[in-house]
Amino acid sequence: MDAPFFEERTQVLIAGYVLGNLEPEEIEELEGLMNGHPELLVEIDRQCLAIEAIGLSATPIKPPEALRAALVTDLRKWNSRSKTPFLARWAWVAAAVLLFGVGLDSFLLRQRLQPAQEIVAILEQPNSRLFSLRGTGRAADASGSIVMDIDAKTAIVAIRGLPQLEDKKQYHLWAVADGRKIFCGGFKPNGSSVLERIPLPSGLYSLVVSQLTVTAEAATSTDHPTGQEVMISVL
Amino acid sequence: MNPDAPKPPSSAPPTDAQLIEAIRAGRTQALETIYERYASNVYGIALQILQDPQEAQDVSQDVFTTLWRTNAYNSERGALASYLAISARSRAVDRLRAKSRKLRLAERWGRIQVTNSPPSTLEQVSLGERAERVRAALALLPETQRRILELVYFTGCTQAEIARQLALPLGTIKSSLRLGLVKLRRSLQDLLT
Repeated sequence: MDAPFFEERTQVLIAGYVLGNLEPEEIEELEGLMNGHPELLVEIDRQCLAIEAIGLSATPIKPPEALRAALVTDLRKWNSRSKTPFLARWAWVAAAVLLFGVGLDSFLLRQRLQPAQEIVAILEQPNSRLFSLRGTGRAADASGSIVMDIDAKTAIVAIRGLPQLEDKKQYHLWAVADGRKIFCGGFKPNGSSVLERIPLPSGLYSLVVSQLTVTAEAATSTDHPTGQEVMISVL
Repeated sequence: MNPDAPKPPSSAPPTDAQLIEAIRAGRTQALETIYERYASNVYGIALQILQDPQEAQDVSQDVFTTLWRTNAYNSERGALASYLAISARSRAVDRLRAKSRKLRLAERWGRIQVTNSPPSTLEQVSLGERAERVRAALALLPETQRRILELVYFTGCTQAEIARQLALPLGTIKSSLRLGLVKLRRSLQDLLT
């Protein structure tokens, strides 16, 4: 099915949002529209795709053979190392602590992801950050960790002890940056545990995340947190 | 078992998804096949942005080694070609930023998450066809809109810098960018759904 076209003004506002050049009053106007029409997220996605497509217009250029040779050398070096000693020990320790904290059994881990390798891969990245979370309010018993790789726009969420939610609700992760709370993704516990990889929004790229919070929200509510806060990150 | 052991011959070339699975299983041949498919596009983007063959080569190498070393690519968020193109642009623009600290706007670009959106039609047609469609769509834009969009994408310049460069009011740059993007999106409508 074709995505619908929205009226010209709405499309132009969305273009401004995607391009990052909206004025404050225009941001308010768009937020008002978004509140009544969550389907506008699809239009935002389409315009992002249109921008990304500009890269495809670049003329393909055969790279010098030296690139292939350098890549092959890289792979050989990488493969010739025993991966375990090569990986930063602290990263493996952090991964183990993080996974142990979730308390998932190994069968479940195998079903969900290859957690240790994925977490270590993220922790090795220069812009990775590890956050510890503690429960608040009705989720006071919850605990967990989140590891983020801002460059790769990905995070792994590992939490245990979260209460189950109604069908139409889910937990939302928010990053506090520059005084704003930015929606980073939603998840639901499996039993009382969560072990999820979630994609991070592009807007985080240039911001310094000072804290993370988790709230219980209606699944469609991503503008700003309105539900009860259930977890916060601690130093 | 040797992960690079030859596989039985198959009539159809492996799909990108199969190659990614093979990479995750540690088969270097799969990365070489992906390199054959996409190296020219990755290098082309990096070179257009950086205008420096050595730097473009470094960026391209980084794109492919990162694909090998990490599981960062998620097929649910788009086609491999798009992921590699975005990675190349992102790294190339980062280099420009590191050199001149002139990037602000472009870093806000990038795919905004729409939960589990399937790969668009744009990502399902051949790379060559996609490139032709995008070039044609850009050619349909008024000259100023096309030029400004390309400047922002391929140079990482801010709108204010482009305004100075083109001796145009900042408001004109902003509105041209927005209108250009809306028109581009409309021209590619059938491919973006």
